[in-house]
Amino acid sequence: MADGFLLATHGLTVRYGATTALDAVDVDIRAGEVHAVVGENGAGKSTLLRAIAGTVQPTAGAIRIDARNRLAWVPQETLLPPDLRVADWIFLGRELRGRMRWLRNHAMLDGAATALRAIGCAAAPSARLGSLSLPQRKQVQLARALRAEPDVLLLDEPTAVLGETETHHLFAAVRTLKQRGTGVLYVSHRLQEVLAIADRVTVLRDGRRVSTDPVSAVDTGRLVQRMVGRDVPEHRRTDRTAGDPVLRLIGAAMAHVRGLSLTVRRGEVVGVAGLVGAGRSEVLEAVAGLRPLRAGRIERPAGCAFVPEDRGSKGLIAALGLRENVFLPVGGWFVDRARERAETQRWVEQLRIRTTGPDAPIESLSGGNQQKVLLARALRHRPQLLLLDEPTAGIDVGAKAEIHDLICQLADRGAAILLTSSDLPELLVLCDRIVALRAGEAVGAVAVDTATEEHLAALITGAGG
Amino acid sequence: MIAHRRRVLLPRLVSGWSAAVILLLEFGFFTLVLAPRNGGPHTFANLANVALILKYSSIFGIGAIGAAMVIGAGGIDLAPGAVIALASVITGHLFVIENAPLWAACVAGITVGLAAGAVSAALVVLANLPPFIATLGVMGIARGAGFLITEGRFYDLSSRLPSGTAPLGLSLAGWPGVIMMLLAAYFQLVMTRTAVGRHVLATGGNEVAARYAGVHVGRVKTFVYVTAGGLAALSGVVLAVVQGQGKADMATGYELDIIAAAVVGGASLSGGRASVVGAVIGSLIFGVLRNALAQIPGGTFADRLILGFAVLIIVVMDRLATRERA
Repeated sequence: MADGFLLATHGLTVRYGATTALDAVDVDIRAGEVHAVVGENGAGKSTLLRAIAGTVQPTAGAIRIDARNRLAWVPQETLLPPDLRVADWIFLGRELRGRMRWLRNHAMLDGAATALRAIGCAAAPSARLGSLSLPQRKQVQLARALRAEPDVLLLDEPTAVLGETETHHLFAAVRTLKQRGTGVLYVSHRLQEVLAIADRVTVLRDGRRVSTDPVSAVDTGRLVQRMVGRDVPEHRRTDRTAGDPVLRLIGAAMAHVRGLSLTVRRGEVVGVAGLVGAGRSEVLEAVAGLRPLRAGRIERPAGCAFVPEDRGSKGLIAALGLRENVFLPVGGWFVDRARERAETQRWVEQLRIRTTGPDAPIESLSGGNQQKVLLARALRHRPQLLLLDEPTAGIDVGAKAEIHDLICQLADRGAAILLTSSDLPELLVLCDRIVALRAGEAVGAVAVDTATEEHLAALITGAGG
Repeated sequence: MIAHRRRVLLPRLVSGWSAAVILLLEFGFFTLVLAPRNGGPHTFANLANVALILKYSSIFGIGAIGAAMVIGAGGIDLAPGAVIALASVITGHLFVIENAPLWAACVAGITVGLAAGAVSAALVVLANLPPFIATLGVMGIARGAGFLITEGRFYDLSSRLPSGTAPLGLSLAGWPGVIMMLLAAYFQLVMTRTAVGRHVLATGGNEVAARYAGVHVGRVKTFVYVTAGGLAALSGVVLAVVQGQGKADMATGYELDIIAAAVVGGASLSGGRASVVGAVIGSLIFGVLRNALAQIPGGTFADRLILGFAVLIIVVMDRLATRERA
């Protein structure tokens, strides 16, 4: 384009139901630069990439891109069709064809091998995607995007599941592309990485663009300040005395998690930290009785409630209304609608669920309020033990603070809480103790008064171990 | 992200009670079209014909109650047609050949249907088969078992029933409609006012979330398949007694009419939404159409074609009314 940008957004706005995920955002990508986008969970980073990639329909605003520019997007998710071969995926939709339009399988296997080598991936081009490890799957996605030699490359948390060596290979490949004139939009949580690879950095907060600067003008401290933006109220627990043990895991093994032992006492909040695939959810699901134990044992109380991660697929039932989602399963034989309505109304008030009424359709609620509906479902039974899997993922800062508050109150009143989060500062604020998992192995337990974010990050990634 | 259902263009036209509107419009339409020209008696809008429509529709309607529950739970049942036939054969065989009392023959017929439902449920819940395949297999087995028992014969129950049999003072021909309406009322209450009903729709709406919430998804599925099997068999037993016949090749292809009735009545094939009363009304919509077309010269030849169009039009209208957005 004449103004030197490969791609620019103008007032880009995306709303999901009642939630504004992206609010009038302007960003641009120049040729041969890496433009990083940082922000807290739920700040709108992934939504920005999805809107540019065209998988999310913007509510307002425009995206300008030269029609000749090719675009490649590597989403954060690594869901790949397990039965396809690596080479099939890398060439999917861009298959090499020969005479009579027959596929040139050997050429594609060779091409895939080259693409994989370029980012240091050890996977064989003929391997099935389902047989690969999580980092390898991520590398295959990256190899597919890089092989296409795009003009604009969108990377969403590419290093979240990668180790140090793989990250170095990726950065080398990105720098090569950069020299060829590719513009990269790079979303990451890891500020150190951003400062190392990016030319400019944009901070998003609550769906709005806060700032865009050359990296030379910022440091991690300033970025964090802008990401958080306000003084996040401290939800310090008033009472940190722990009572009798409520939950005990003794050498428990589930899925790929091995030999985990931990105890949660009355009035105590214990966190499970780990990268994606480390086995956090598996631990909670096994405690909830939803996953078989392969070894060891779990002593848990009868009153145990579980709030799963991923509200949309594991938590809520969109076909049912708010009240019906709270009262699931129904205790007893008959449904008493009047009592359910009254009780739902009480929960709506107590948890400050913003809704039009107890029978509102569940999809009319924002993410934070949907999460509170799941909490109401769990708290309805006054559980002794509460299991929370990513309780604040993808919800806005205000709702997040309210949920933190609630968790602290519950613990102060004597509930035992076991929770996971990929948000390390959240774990440090909420928990008394944090157990770090790495690839299914407990690699340490830290008391929260002595732990720092860097220490935890080192534990779960195995860096500088 | 949860799918957002947006209401556009039309209000919710076809679900539960609004299917009744279509039925009334349809009935009014044929009353006008088939009005006698020379002041003779009305051949369509008269009590005897309405009773006839009810009687024939109930064969589908009783099965559609079960289908609505299976579909609401996110499943599908292809066995009802074959189960109807098998139940009529069992009842006929025991009553005509084995000289069993009529009530015992009827109970045996229904029991076989419950068993067929239990087999479907076991295949879906324990063996984790897709419901389409599991019930396709059960359909074949039920149909085959019927032929094996009859060896090509058919059982003539009517000749052994005392003429003028009228339990509780209602003629035999009147009973199917009454049974259908009582069952519809009962299962409507089950679906809307009991835990079972909510758990059925929760399972169909999002099976994983229902399981995580603590719903016994396996029990829910077992309930719907066994109930659907029992209802299909009841329909077959009613058919055998009222028509006076037990035959292995009866009700061929009825499973599709039954599913269509449930869908027209507001059941969503993606699960989570279903109406028992709607399914019965759906079967009445088809019953009226068949009856009326039979009175139009050449209409019987067109009835499958018109039924096919009617299903598509009604379901497309429903889709437009509740269009889904990713």
